[in-house]
Amino acid sequence: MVRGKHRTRSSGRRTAAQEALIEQLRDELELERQLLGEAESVLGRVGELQAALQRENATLSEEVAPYVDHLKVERKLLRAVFADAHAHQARVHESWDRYCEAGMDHASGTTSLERMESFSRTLGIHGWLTSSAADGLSAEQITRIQRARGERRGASSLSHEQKKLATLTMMLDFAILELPTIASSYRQHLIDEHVVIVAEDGTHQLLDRADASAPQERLLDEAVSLAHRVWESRQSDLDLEALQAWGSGTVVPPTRQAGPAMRSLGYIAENHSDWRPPTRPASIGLPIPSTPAARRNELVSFGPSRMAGQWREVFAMRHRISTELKLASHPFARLSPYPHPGQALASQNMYTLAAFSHWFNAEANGSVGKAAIGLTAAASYWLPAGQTASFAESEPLDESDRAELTLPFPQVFLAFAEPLLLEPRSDPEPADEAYFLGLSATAHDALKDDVSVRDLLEARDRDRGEHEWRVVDLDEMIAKFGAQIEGVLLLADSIGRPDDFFAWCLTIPGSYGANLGRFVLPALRSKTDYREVLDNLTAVVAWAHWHEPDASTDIPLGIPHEDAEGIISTSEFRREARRSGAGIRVIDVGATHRRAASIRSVVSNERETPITPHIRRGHWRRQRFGSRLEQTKRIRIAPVLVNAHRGDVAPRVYRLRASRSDA
Amino acid sequence: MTEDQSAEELVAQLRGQVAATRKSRMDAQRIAATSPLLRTALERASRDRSSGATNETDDLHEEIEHLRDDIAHEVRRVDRVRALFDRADTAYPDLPQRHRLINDLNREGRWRAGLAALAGWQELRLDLPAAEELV
Repeated sequence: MVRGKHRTRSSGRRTAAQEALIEQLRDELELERQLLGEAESVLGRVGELQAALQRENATLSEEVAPYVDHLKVERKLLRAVFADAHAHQARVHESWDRYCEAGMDHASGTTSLERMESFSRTLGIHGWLTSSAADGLSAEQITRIQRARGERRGASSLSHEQKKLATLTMMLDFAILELPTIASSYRQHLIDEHVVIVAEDGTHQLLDRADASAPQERLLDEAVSLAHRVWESRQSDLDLEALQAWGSGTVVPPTRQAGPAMRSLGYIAENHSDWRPPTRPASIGLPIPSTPAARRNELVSFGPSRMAGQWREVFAMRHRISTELKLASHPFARLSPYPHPGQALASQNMYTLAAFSHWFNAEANGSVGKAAIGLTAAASYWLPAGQTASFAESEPLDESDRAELTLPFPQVFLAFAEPLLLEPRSDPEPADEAYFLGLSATAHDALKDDVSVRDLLEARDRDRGEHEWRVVDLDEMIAKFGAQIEGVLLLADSIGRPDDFFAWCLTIPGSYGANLGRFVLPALRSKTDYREVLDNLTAVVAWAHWHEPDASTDIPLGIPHEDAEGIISTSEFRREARRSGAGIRVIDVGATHRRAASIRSVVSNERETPITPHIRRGHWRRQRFGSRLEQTKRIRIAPVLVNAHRGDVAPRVYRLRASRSDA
Repeated sequence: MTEDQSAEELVAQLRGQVAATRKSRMDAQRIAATSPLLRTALERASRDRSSGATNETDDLHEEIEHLRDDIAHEVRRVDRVRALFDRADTAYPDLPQRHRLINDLNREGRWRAGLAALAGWQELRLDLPAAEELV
């Protein structure tokens, strides 16, 4: 009985436990099924995304296949040409080495060192040969040591002090003759304080230290030190002195008075006669794209030194990203023939520095200041290859179209993968061509070797040889050799309407694959001959669809340097920032055009009158939408390649044609 | 005995169902978790399609850019010799080594002039300066 009772109780307990367990498992199962249902409901969307991704990748592969074939043909040709170029160069250099050995044997001098120096002077290379063990010693000290050793008879008598004073005078002379590497206001300050005396022939002389008062001597020391810093600065230095010297590239002098070339671009020099540096303290803040127009103008009043000093870290970070991504960031660097969207940031920074450089030398020029502030703060947009010409040559906008243009930010920098070509207005003289070739050589060598201002200017004087005193300014350069417009700065008012004011960002391509500097030309829409093109480019920003910047490439302004470095050094950043640009908006070709392809081939009816192949221009059509079709939006109608089957059309670059008659 | 057995079987069955459902749920969640990644990948693919960028085109672009730079650099090196020779020849006009150097420079100059005739060269828009024939 007891056993039986016990068994019954025990069985009852087991049954209760099992029932509880079963209940728990049923609850658990129900919950799992519920969660499974929720997860599965997302799977449909995931499947759609996977399918869409596969389609996008397959279409991309299909679309780029002919392009890849084209690139391979180009690579094959370039490889063959490079092999020939290298072989010729090696042969020439072998012959040149033998020629130099013979030349040195014939050169004057009593020691081999002196004969080498003598031969070098014949070639236009002046200097004293030293050894690496002589680092840190002056020419005077080195040559005296060499004389003591019997390696030479003569010796330099130029001391460090004399050399530095000579540098200051030379830079002041440069400032008047052609290249303002010392700010005009600072030069004037030195003259006003009688530390510098301007001679009748316009050259500069320094006050003798023996006659100087204590404040004058301090000012002279400061000027000598400043000149030395500029002289030794390199493009990668970003202190104010280097920025002033390197911003535009230093080899092409700025324009003193706009000629036909710059007038056709609508160039303005808006001088504020009442400008003076603000004295009241005010916070400047970070250069964010939504900086309103009124604030932008207020920032201009702070002047270049204060603004550049305040935003130096922004320039440095953008420069750092550009070099990490191996983008063109030197004023002499040519844009890659196939640049990545990431180039937009590097170009924005290059042109920002060029604008600041110009502003340093024209502090009262409010238009240059506005361009410098606008470029630093601008949101950057990128038109990939094949898009620039298509949009630039769209059907011109009429007044009602223009009235509908609104920019997404008060300042926008629109950069092009394929620059607009600004054609020369007149033919250069042979002397101009020789001068241009010399500057091209200087720019190429400076880019390759990352030289200082001193090396750059010495090389320039050597390369231009007999054309030493010829000065061709920016306006004349553009008129005779043309230019490439790599971007435009567009400004807008408080409600997004495009300003009359804008700026061209252009470069002059040299002969050896380097450019002759980068230049920002403030201009007015109402004055430029290229108003239609500019409106069309504004319309792209206003009406096209744009890919938002990739989140992985976002580096907020003002974050600590170490945090920024942490982002920049990742492989994901390097890959995506090149493809998408760090914080850059790339045009969404698929969403912008009514059809996916920007240029489609239309085969005309053979019975129609035969028409030669050509591209029918694209345009923006108004389309009504919304309830009762009360709203309108702009739809891009892509350019059409008409009758492609009848033959080729020329390569598509957009040329801004100048009227040669008023040159 | 039979009831116990069936209860145990039911427990086992439920356990099995819970485990299987949990596995399915986790698999589904794992796939669902890729949704943001897929969305990013799709955005990037769409962006790359806009600029025609693939790994292969990136590599080709890079090599082409280097080749163009290298060609311009080789030509510049020869032109540097040309300019220096011009000055040295004025100072030392009768050096016997000049003939070989002139021959090599002229040969390079003729090669450069001949590039324009190469198929596809014009499309490259790689402008190299013309070199004058030396005598």
